[in-house]
Amino acid sequence: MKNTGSLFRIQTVVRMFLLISLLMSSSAVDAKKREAEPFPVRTPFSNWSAGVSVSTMGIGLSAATPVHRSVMLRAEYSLLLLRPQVAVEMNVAALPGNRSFEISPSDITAKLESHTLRLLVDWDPIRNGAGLFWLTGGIFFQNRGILNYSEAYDADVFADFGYSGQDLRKIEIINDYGRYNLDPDATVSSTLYRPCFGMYFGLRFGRPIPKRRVGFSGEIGIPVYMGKVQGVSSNVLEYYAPSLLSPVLNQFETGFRVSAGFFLSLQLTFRLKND
Amino acid sequence: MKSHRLYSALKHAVCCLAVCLVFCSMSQCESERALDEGNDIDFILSGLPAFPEGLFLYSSSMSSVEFDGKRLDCEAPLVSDECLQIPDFKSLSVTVSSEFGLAAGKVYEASQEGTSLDIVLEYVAGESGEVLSATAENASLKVSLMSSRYVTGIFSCDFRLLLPDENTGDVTEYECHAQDGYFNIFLL
Repeated sequence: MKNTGSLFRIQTVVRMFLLISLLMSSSAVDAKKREAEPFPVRTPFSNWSAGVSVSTMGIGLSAATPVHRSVMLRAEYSLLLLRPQVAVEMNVAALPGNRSFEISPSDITAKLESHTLRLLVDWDPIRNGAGLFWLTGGIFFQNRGILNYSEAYDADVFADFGYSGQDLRKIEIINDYGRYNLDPDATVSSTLYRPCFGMYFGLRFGRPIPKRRVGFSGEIGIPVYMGKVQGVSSNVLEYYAPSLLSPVLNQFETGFRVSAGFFLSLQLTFRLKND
Repeated sequence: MKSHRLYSALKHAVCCLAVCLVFCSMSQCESERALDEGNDIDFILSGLPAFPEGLFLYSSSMSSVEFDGKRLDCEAPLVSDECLQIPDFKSLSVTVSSEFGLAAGKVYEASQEGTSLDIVLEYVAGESGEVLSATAENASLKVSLMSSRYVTGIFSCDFRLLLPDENTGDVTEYECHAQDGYFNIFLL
Protein backbone atom coordinates (compact mmCIF):
# COMPACT_ATOMS: atom_id res chain seq x y z
CA MET A 1 0.00 0.00 0.00
CA LYS A 2 2.70 2.39 0.97
CA ASN A 3 4.74 1.65 -2.12
CA THR A 4 1.68 2.24 -4.36
CA GLY A 5 1.00 5.65 -2.68
CA SER A 6 4.57 6.77 -3.09
CA LEU A 7 4.63 5.78 -6.75
CA PHE A 8 1.44 7.76 -7.36
CA ARG A 9 2.89 10.86 -5.70
CA ILE A 10 6.09 10.65 -7.75
CA GLN A 11 4.10 10.28 -10.97
CA THR A 12 1.98 13.34 -10.05
CA VAL A 13 5.02 15.50 -9.39
CA VAL A 14 6.63 14.46 -12.66
CA ARG A 15 3.41 15.23 -14.61
CA MET A 16 3.16 18.70 -12.98
CA PHE A 17 6.81 19.43 -13.81
CA LEU A 18 6.35 18.45 -17.44
CA LEU A 19 3.19 20.58 -17.71
CA ILE A 20 4.85 23.64 -16.26
CA SER A 21 7.87 23.20 -18.51
CA LEU A 22 5.63 22.93 -21.56
CA LEU A 23 3.79 26.13 -20.62
CA MET A 24 7.01 28.05 -20.00
CA SER A 25 8.56 26.97 -23.26
CA SER A 26 5.47 27.92 -25.28
CA SER A 27 5.35 31.39 -23.66
CA ALA A 28 9.04 31.84 -24.36
CA VAL A 29 8.37 31.01 -28.01
CA ASP A 30 5.54 33.61 -28.06
CA ALA A 31 7.81 36.21 -26.47
CA LYS A 32 10.47 35.55 -29.07
CA LYS A 33 7.86 35.85 -31.80
CA ARG A 34 6.72 39.16 -30.34
CA GLU A 35 10.30 40.38 -30.13
CA ALA A 36 10.79 39.49 -33.76
CA GLU A 37 7.78 41.57 -34.91
CA PRO A 38 8.81 45.13 -35.80
CA PHE A 39 7.13 47.93 -33.78
CA PRO A 40 4.99 50.14 -36.03
CA VAL A 41 6.28 53.66 -36.60
CA ARG A 42 3.27 55.86 -36.01
CA THR A 43 2.83 59.16 -37.80
CA PRO A 44 0.56 62.00 -36.66
CA PHE A 45 -3.03 60.82 -36.24
CA SER A 46 -2.24 57.50 -37.94
CA ASN A 47 -4.01 55.53 -35.25
CA TRP A 48 -6.32 55.87 -32.28
CA SER A 49 -7.00 54.10 -29.07
CA ALA A 50 -9.87 54.08 -26.64
CA GLY A 51 -9.54 53.12 -23.03
CA VAL A 52 -11.45 52.55 -19.84
CA SER A 53 -9.85 53.15 -16.49
CA VAL A 54 -10.29 53.04 -12.78
CA SER A 55 -8.42 55.70 -10.87
CA THR A 56 -8.38 57.90 -7.82
CA MET A 57 -10.47 60.35 -9.89
CA GLY A 58 -13.13 57.74 -10.57
CA ILE A 59 -14.11 55.70 -13.57
CA GLY A 60 -12.72 57.08 -16.80
CA LEU A 61 -12.89 56.98 -20.58
CA SER A 62 -9.92 58.01 -22.66
CA ALA A 63 -8.79 58.45 -26.22
CA ALA A 64 -5.25 58.78 -27.57
CA THR A 65 -3.63 59.51 -30.90
CA PRO A 66 0.01 59.96 -31.95
CA VAL A 67 1.39 63.33 -32.98
CA HIS A 68 4.88 61.88 -33.38
CA ARG A 69 6.31 58.36 -33.22
CA SER A 70 7.16 58.93 -29.57
CA VAL A 71 4.56 61.51 -28.53
CA MET A 72 0.87 60.84 -27.96
CA LEU A 73 -1.99 63.19 -27.26
CA ARG A 74 -4.47 61.81 -24.78
CA ALA A 75 -7.76 63.02 -23.39
CA GLU A 76 -9.39 61.37 -20.42
CA TYR A 77 -12.69 62.03 -18.66
CA SER A 78 -13.24 60.64 -15.17
CA LEU A 79 -16.37 60.49 -13.07
CA LEU A 80 -16.63 59.80 -9.38
CA LEU A 81 -20.05 59.57 -7.72
CA LEU A 82 -20.38 58.69 -4.08
CA ARG A 83 -23.11 58.93 -1.50
CA PRO A 84 -21.27 58.22 1.73
CA GLN A 85 -23.28 57.01 4.68
CA VAL A 86 -23.05 59.46 7.57
CA ALA A 87 -23.74 58.31 11.11
CA VAL A 88 -26.65 60.12 12.74
CA GLU A 89 -25.62 61.83 15.95
CA MET A 90 -27.52 63.63 18.65
CA ASN A 91 -27.21 67.39 18.45
CA VAL A 92 -28.68 70.10 20.68
CA ALA A 93 -31.32 72.53 19.46
CA ALA A 94 -31.26 75.84 21.35
CA LEU A 95 -34.38 77.96 21.09
CA PRO A 96 -34.70 81.58 22.15
CA GLY A 97 -35.72 81.84 25.78
CA ASN A 98 -33.22 79.31 27.16
CA ARG A 99 -35.06 76.28 25.86
CA SER A 100 -32.80 73.51 24.60
CA PHE A 101 -33.20 69.85 23.87
CA GLU A 102 -31.49 66.99 22.11
CA ILE A 103 -32.45 66.33 18.52
CA SER A 104 -31.00 64.29 15.69
CA PRO A 105 -31.40 64.97 11.98
CA SER A 106 -34.28 63.12 10.41
CA ASP A 107 -32.32 62.84 7.17
CA ILE A 108 -28.69 63.34 6.20
CA THR A 109 -27.67 63.71 2.56
CA ALA A 110 -24.04 63.62 1.50
CA LYS A 111 -23.22 63.58 -2.21
CA LEU A 112 -19.77 63.59 -3.71
CA GLU A 113 -19.70 64.26 -7.46
CA SER A 114 -16.43 64.75 -9.29
CA HIS A 115 -15.99 65.38 -13.04
CA THR A 116 -12.44 65.63 -14.35
CA LEU A 117 -11.19 66.20 -17.87
CA ARG A 118 -7.46 65.67 -18.43
CA LEU A 119 -5.63 66.77 -21.58
CA LEU A 120 -2.27 65.06 -21.61
CA VAL A 121 0.87 64.52 -23.63
CA ASP A 122 2.60 61.15 -23.30
CA TRP A 123 6.26 60.96 -24.29
CA ASP A 124 8.52 57.97 -24.68
CA PRO A 125 12.02 59.47 -24.32
CA ILE A 126 13.90 56.19 -24.61
CA ARG A 127 12.53 53.85 -27.26
CA ASN A 128 10.82 56.17 -29.76
CA GLY A 129 7.32 55.00 -28.99
CA ALA A 130 8.09 51.32 -28.59
CA GLY A 131 8.80 51.50 -24.89
CA LEU A 132 6.58 50.63 -21.98
CA PHE A 133 7.52 53.60 -19.79
CA TRP A 134 6.14 56.97 -20.76
CA LEU A 135 6.35 60.38 -19.15
CA THR A 136 3.02 62.07 -19.05
CA GLY A 137 1.98 65.63 -18.31
CA GLY A 138 -0.70 68.13 -19.07
CA ILE A 139 -3.60 70.09 -17.67
CA PHE A 140 -6.90 69.12 -16.18
CA PHE A 141 -10.25 70.73 -15.51
CA GLN A 142 -12.70 69.68 -12.84
CA ASN A 143 -16.03 70.79 -11.43
CA ARG A 144 -15.83 73.19 -8.54
CA GLY A 145 -18.50 72.03 -6.14
CA ILE A 146 -17.48 68.53 -5.24
CA LEU A 147 -19.30 67.70 -2.00
CA ASN A 148 -22.80 68.68 -0.96
CA TYR A 149 -23.88 67.94 2.60
CA SER A 150 -27.26 68.56 4.15
CA GLU A 151 -28.96 67.73 7.46
CA ALA A 152 -32.72 67.95 7.60
CA TYR A 153 -34.59 68.26 10.89
CA ASP A 154 -38.24 67.58 11.61
CA ALA A 155 -39.94 70.96 11.14
CA ASP A 156 -43.02 69.72 13.02
CA VAL A 157 -40.99 69.58 16.23
CA PHE A 158 -40.07 73.23 15.97
CA ALA A 159 -43.63 74.11 14.94
CA ASP A 160 -44.77 72.71 18.30
CA PHE A 161 -42.75 75.45 19.95
CA GLY A 162 -44.06 78.16 17.65
CA TYR A 163 -41.22 78.29 15.12
CA SER A 164 -41.70 77.84 11.42
CA GLY A 165 -40.54 79.39 8.16
CA GLN A 166 -38.19 82.33 8.61
CA ASP A 167 -38.49 82.04 12.41
CA LEU A 168 -36.43 78.85 12.21
CA ARG A 169 -33.37 81.03 11.67
CA LYS A 170 -33.60 81.92 15.36
CA ILE A 171 -32.92 78.31 16.33
CA GLU A 172 -29.35 77.15 16.81
CA ILE A 173 -28.14 73.62 16.24
CA ILE A 174 -25.10 72.81 18.35
CA ASN A 175 -22.86 69.81 17.76
CA ASP A 176 -19.27 68.81 18.35
CA TYR A 177 -18.02 71.02 15.52
CA GLY A 178 -19.88 74.28 15.91
CA ARG A 179 -23.12 76.24 16.10
CA TYR A 180 -25.43 76.61 13.15
CA ASN A 181 -28.75 78.27 12.47
CA LEU A 182 -31.51 76.54 10.58
CA ASP A 183 -32.72 77.48 7.14
CA PRO A 184 -36.46 78.16 6.74
CA ASP A 185 -36.88 74.58 5.55
CA ALA A 186 -35.30 73.25 8.79
CA THR A 187 -32.05 72.21 7.14
CA VAL A 188 -28.37 72.86 7.67
CA SER A 189 -26.21 72.48 4.61
CA SER A 190 -22.80 73.14 3.16
CA THR A 191 -20.79 72.71 -0.04
CA LEU A 192 -17.12 71.93 -0.44
CA TYR A 193 -15.47 73.75 -3.35
CA ARG A 194 -12.14 72.90 -4.94
CA PRO A 195 -9.96 74.45 -7.63
CA CYS A 196 -11.25 74.06 -11.19
CA PHE A 197 -7.88 73.87 -12.90
CA GLY A 198 -4.55 72.24 -12.39
CA MET A 199 -1.50 70.68 -13.95
CA TYR A 200 -0.49 67.06 -13.92
CA PHE A 201 2.83 65.21 -14.03
CA GLY A 202 3.13 61.49 -14.01
CA LEU A 203 4.67 58.23 -15.12
CA ARG A 204 2.81 55.71 -17.22
CA PHE A 205 3.55 52.04 -17.58
CA GLY A 206 2.00 50.71 -20.79
CA ARG A 207 1.64 52.19 -24.26
CA PRO A 208 -1.13 54.77 -24.85
CA ILE A 209 -1.83 52.94 -28.11
CA PRO A 210 -1.03 49.28 -27.53
CA LYS A 211 1.00 47.26 -29.98
CA ARG A 212 -1.59 44.50 -30.05
CA ARG A 213 -5.33 45.02 -30.14
CA VAL A 214 -5.73 45.23 -26.37
CA GLY A 215 -3.27 46.60 -23.83
CA PHE A 216 -3.13 47.08 -20.12
CA SER A 217 -1.43 50.03 -18.42
CA GLY A 218 -0.99 51.79 -15.15
CA GLU A 219 -0.24 55.36 -14.23
CA ILE A 220 0.98 57.20 -11.18
CA GLY A 221 1.31 60.93 -10.87
CA ILE A 222 0.90 64.18 -9.04
CA PRO A 223 -1.93 66.58 -9.84
CA VAL A 224 -1.11 70.15 -8.86
CA TYR A 225 -4.21 72.18 -8.08
CA MET A 226 -4.33 75.91 -8.78
CA GLY A 227 -6.71 77.60 -6.41
CA LYS A 228 -8.15 77.41 -2.93
CA VAL A 229 -10.32 74.83 -1.28
CA GLN A 230 -13.40 76.38 0.30
CA GLY A 231 -16.13 75.19 2.56
CA VAL A 232 -19.23 77.30 2.21
CA SER A 233 -22.22 77.16 4.51
CA SER A 234 -24.72 79.92 5.18
CA ASN A 235 -25.66 78.26 8.44
CA VAL A 236 -22.39 78.51 10.34
CA LEU A 237 -22.54 80.79 13.38
CA GLU A 238 -19.40 79.54 15.05
CA TYR A 239 -16.97 76.76 14.21
CA TYR A 240 -14.67 75.50 16.91
CA ALA A 241 -13.21 72.30 15.43
CA PRO A 242 -10.10 71.97 13.29
CA SER A 243 -11.07 71.93 9.62
CA LEU A 244 -9.44 68.56 9.13
CA LEU A 245 -11.99 66.96 11.45
CA SER A 246 -14.93 68.13 9.46
CA PRO A 247 -14.53 69.63 6.00
CA VAL A 248 -18.32 69.80 5.79
CA LEU A 249 -20.61 72.06 7.79
CA ASN A 250 -17.78 74.51 7.91
CA GLN A 251 -17.05 77.92 6.52
CA PHE A 252 -13.38 78.03 5.64
CA GLU A 253 -10.90 78.79 2.91
CA THR A 254 -7.42 77.36 2.66
CA GLY A 255 -4.65 79.90 2.79
CA PHE A 256 -2.55 78.36 0.05
CA ARG A 257 -3.36 78.73 -3.65
CA VAL A 258 -1.30 75.78 -4.91
CA SER A 259 -1.66 72.27 -3.55
CA ALA A 260 -0.73 68.81 -4.73
CA GLY A 261 -2.41 65.44 -4.58
CA PHE A 262 -1.82 61.88 -5.63
CA PHE A 263 -3.10 60.03 -8.69
CA LEU A 264 -3.17 56.33 -9.45
CA SER A 265 -4.85 54.68 -12.40
CA LEU A 266 -5.29 51.28 -14.03
CA GLN A 267 -6.35 51.29 -17.66
CA LEU A 268 -7.50 48.88 -20.36
CA THR A 269 -6.73 50.22 -23.82
CA PHE A 270 -8.05 49.15 -27.22
CA ARG A 271 -6.24 49.93 -30.48
CA LEU A 272 -8.87 51.06 -32.97
CA LYS A 273 -7.01 50.79 -36.29
CA ASN A 274 -4.52 48.39 -37.76
CA ASP A 275 -1.00 49.78 -38.11
CA MET B 1 20.88 59.86 20.03
CA LYS B 2 18.25 57.14 19.81
CA SER B 3 16.90 57.89 23.26
CA HIS B 4 16.79 61.59 22.39
CA ARG B 5 14.72 60.91 19.27
CA LEU B 6 12.43 58.62 21.20
CA TYR B 7 11.94 61.26 23.87
CA SER B 8 11.19 63.90 21.22
CA ALA B 9 8.64 61.65 19.49
CA LEU B 10 7.00 60.84 22.81
CA LYS B 11 6.82 64.51 23.70
CA HIS B 12 5.10 65.31 20.39
CA ALA B 13 2.64 62.46 20.84
CA VAL B 14 1.71 63.63 24.32
CA CYS B 15 1.22 67.19 23.05
CA CYS B 16 -1.07 66.00 20.26
CA LEU B 17 -3.05 63.86 22.68
CA ALA B 18 -3.39 66.78 25.08
CA VAL B 19 -4.64 69.05 22.28
CA CYS B 20 -7.18 66.42 21.25
CA LEU B 21 -8.40 65.94 24.79
CA VAL B 22 -8.70 69.69 25.34
CA PHE B 23 -10.56 70.11 22.05
CA CYS B 24 -12.87 67.20 22.82
CA SER B 25 -13.69 68.57 26.23
CA MET B 26 -14.24 72.08 24.81
CA SER B 27 -16.58 70.93 22.05
CA GLN B 28 -18.57 68.74 24.39
CA CYS B 29 -18.81 71.69 26.76
CA GLU B 30 -20.57 73.77 24.12
CA SER B 31 -23.48 71.38 23.64
CA GLU B 32 -23.53 70.41 27.33
CA ARG B 33 -23.61 74.08 28.27
CA ALA B 34 -26.51 74.68 25.91
CA LEU B 35 -28.38 71.67 27.25
CA ASP B 36 -27.61 72.48 30.89
CA GLU B 37 -28.56 68.98 32.08
CA GLY B 38 -31.74 69.28 30.08
CA ASN B 39 -34.30 69.24 32.89
CA ASP B 40 -36.63 72.08 32.09
CA ILE B 41 -40.27 72.93 32.63
CA ASP B 42 -41.66 76.36 31.97
CA PHE B 43 -45.00 77.94 31.23
CA ILE B 44 -46.87 81.23 31.42
CA LEU B 45 -49.71 81.39 33.94
CA SER B 46 -52.30 83.92 32.84
CA GLY B 47 -55.38 85.11 34.68
CA LEU B 48 -53.64 86.26 37.83
CA PRO B 49 -54.89 89.68 38.83
CA ALA B 50 -51.45 90.84 39.93
CA PHE B 51 -49.90 89.84 36.61
CA PRO B 52 -52.19 90.89 33.77
CA GLU B 53 -49.62 89.89 31.13
CA GLY B 54 -49.04 86.51 32.69
CA LEU B 55 -46.53 85.11 35.16
CA PHE B 56 -43.56 83.12 33.82
CA LEU B 57 -42.88 80.09 35.98
CA TYR B 58 -40.02 77.69 35.34
CA SER B 59 -37.88 74.95 36.78
CA SER B 60 -34.37 73.77 35.91
CA SER B 61 -34.46 70.60 37.97
CA MET B 62 -36.73 67.70 38.77
CA SER B 63 -37.41 66.54 42.31
CA SER B 64 -38.59 63.18 40.94
CA VAL B 65 -38.83 61.43 37.60
CA GLU B 66 -40.31 58.02 36.86
CA PHE B 67 -40.63 56.58 33.37
CA ASP B 68 -41.36 53.08 32.13
CA GLY B 69 -42.33 53.66 28.51
CA LYS B 70 -46.05 53.80 29.22
CA ARG B 71 -46.08 56.24 32.11
CA LEU B 72 -44.18 59.43 32.86
CA ASP B 73 -44.41 60.86 36.36
CA CYS B 74 -42.35 63.90 37.28
CA GLU B 75 -42.38 66.74 39.75
CA ALA B 76 -40.50 70.02 39.43
CA PRO B 77 -40.03 72.82 41.97
CA LEU B 78 -41.13 76.10 40.41
CA VAL B 79 -39.29 79.39 40.39
CA SER B 80 -40.32 82.84 39.23
CA ASP B 81 -38.22 85.90 38.46
CA GLU B 82 -40.90 88.01 40.15
CA CYS B 83 -40.62 88.61 43.88
CA LEU B 84 -43.57 86.47 44.81
CA GLN B 85 -44.92 86.21 48.30
CA ILE B 86 -48.57 85.53 47.78
CA PRO B 87 -49.25 83.45 45.81
CA ASP B 88 -46.11 81.42 46.05
CA PHE B 89 -46.03 78.64 43.48
CA LYS B 90 -44.20 75.63 44.85
CA SER B 91 -44.21 72.83 42.32
CA LEU B 92 -45.77 71.34 39.22
CA SER B 93 -46.47 67.63 38.94
CA VAL B 94 -47.15 65.97 35.60
CA THR B 95 -48.34 62.40 35.24
CA VAL B 96 -49.17 61.09 31.79
CA SER B 97 -49.78 57.50 30.85
CA SER B 98 -51.07 55.57 27.89
CA GLU B 99 -51.84 51.88 27.69
CA PHE B 100 -50.37 51.93 24.16
CA GLY B 101 -47.12 53.47 25.37
CA LEU B 102 -45.87 57.05 25.15
CA ALA B 103 -44.56 58.03 21.71
CA ALA B 104 -43.24 61.07 19.90
CA GLY B 105 -45.75 63.04 17.87
CA LYS B 106 -48.70 61.98 20.04
CA VAL B 107 -51.12 64.28 21.87
CA TYR B 108 -52.46 63.08 25.19
CA GLU B 109 -55.62 64.31 26.86
CA ALA B 110 -57.44 63.04 29.90
CA SER B 111 -60.60 62.44 27.88
CA GLN B 112 -58.90 59.95 25.54
CA GLU B 113 -59.57 56.28 26.00
CA GLY B 114 -56.66 54.46 27.50
CA THR B 115 -54.94 57.70 28.49
CA SER B 116 -54.63 59.52 31.77
CA LEU B 117 -53.17 63.00 32.22
CA ASP B 118 -52.87 64.72 35.57
CA ILE B 119 -51.19 68.07 36.09
CA VAL B 120 -51.17 69.43 39.63
CA LEU B 121 -49.98 72.88 40.68
CA GLU B 122 -49.05 73.36 44.33
CA TYR B 123 -49.00 76.87 45.75
CA VAL B 124 -49.24 78.86 48.92
CA ALA B 125 -52.03 81.41 48.86
CA GLY B 126 -52.30 82.64 52.45
CA GLU B 127 -50.08 83.90 55.19
CA SER B 128 -50.68 80.69 57.08
CA GLY B 129 -48.36 78.94 54.66
CA GLU B 130 -50.89 76.24 53.85
CA VAL B 131 -49.99 74.50 50.59
CA LEU B 132 -52.93 74.21 48.25
CA SER B 133 -53.23 71.97 45.18
CA ALA B 134 -54.97 72.81 41.95
CA THR B 135 -55.67 70.01 39.52
CA ALA B 136 -55.59 70.95 35.85
CA GLU B 137 -58.68 70.98 33.70
CA ASN B 138 -58.79 70.72 29.91
CA ALA B 139 -55.20 69.50 30.00
CA SER B 140 -53.44 68.64 26.78
CA LEU B 141 -49.89 67.38 26.44
CA LYS B 142 -47.92 66.57 23.29
CA VAL B 143 -44.71 64.58 23.21
CA SER B 144 -42.66 66.25 20.46
CA LEU B 145 -39.49 64.19 20.83
CA MET B 146 -38.64 61.01 22.68
CA SER B 147 -35.32 59.24 22.91
CA SER B 148 -33.72 56.91 25.41
CA ARG B 149 -32.41 59.93 27.27
CA TYR B 150 -35.00 62.68 27.02
CA VAL B 151 -38.66 63.35 26.49
CA THR B 152 -39.56 66.79 25.15
CA GLY B 153 -42.87 68.42 24.48
CA ILE B 154 -45.51 71.02 25.16
CA PHE B 155 -48.59 71.26 27.35
CA SER B 156 -51.45 73.54 28.26
CA CYS B 157 -54.21 73.42 30.84
CA ASP B 158 -56.52 75.44 33.07
CA PHE B 159 -56.32 75.82 36.84
CA ARG B 160 -58.83 77.13 39.36
CA LEU B 161 -56.77 78.89 42.00
CA LEU B 162 -58.06 80.06 45.35
CA LEU B 163 -56.32 83.36 45.93
CA PRO B 164 -57.00 86.30 48.28
CA ASP B 165 -58.60 89.24 46.54
CA GLU B 166 -56.27 92.24 46.27
CA ASN B 167 -58.85 94.68 47.62
CA THR B 168 -61.00 92.77 50.05
CA GLY B 169 -58.62 90.02 51.08
CA ASP B 170 -61.39 87.45 50.69
CA VAL B 171 -60.46 84.15 49.11
CA THR B 172 -61.64 84.16 45.52
CA GLU B 173 -61.48 81.52 42.83
CA TYR B 174 -59.60 82.59 39.76
CA GLU B 175 -59.62 80.77 36.46
CA CYS B 176 -56.04 80.71 35.28
CA HIS B 177 -54.57 79.27 32.14
CA ALA B 178 -51.15 77.65 31.76
CA GLN B 179 -50.06 78.42 28.22
CA ASP B 180 -46.95 77.91 26.12
CA GLY B 181 -45.97 75.08 28.45
CA TYR B 182 -42.67 73.36 27.65
CA PHE B 183 -40.93 70.37 29.18
CA ASN B 184 -37.64 68.62 28.53
CA ILE B 185 -37.04 65.82 31.01
CA PHE B 186 -33.96 63.67 31.45
CA LEU B 187 -35.11 60.09 31.75
CA LEU B 188 -31.98 58.19 32.74
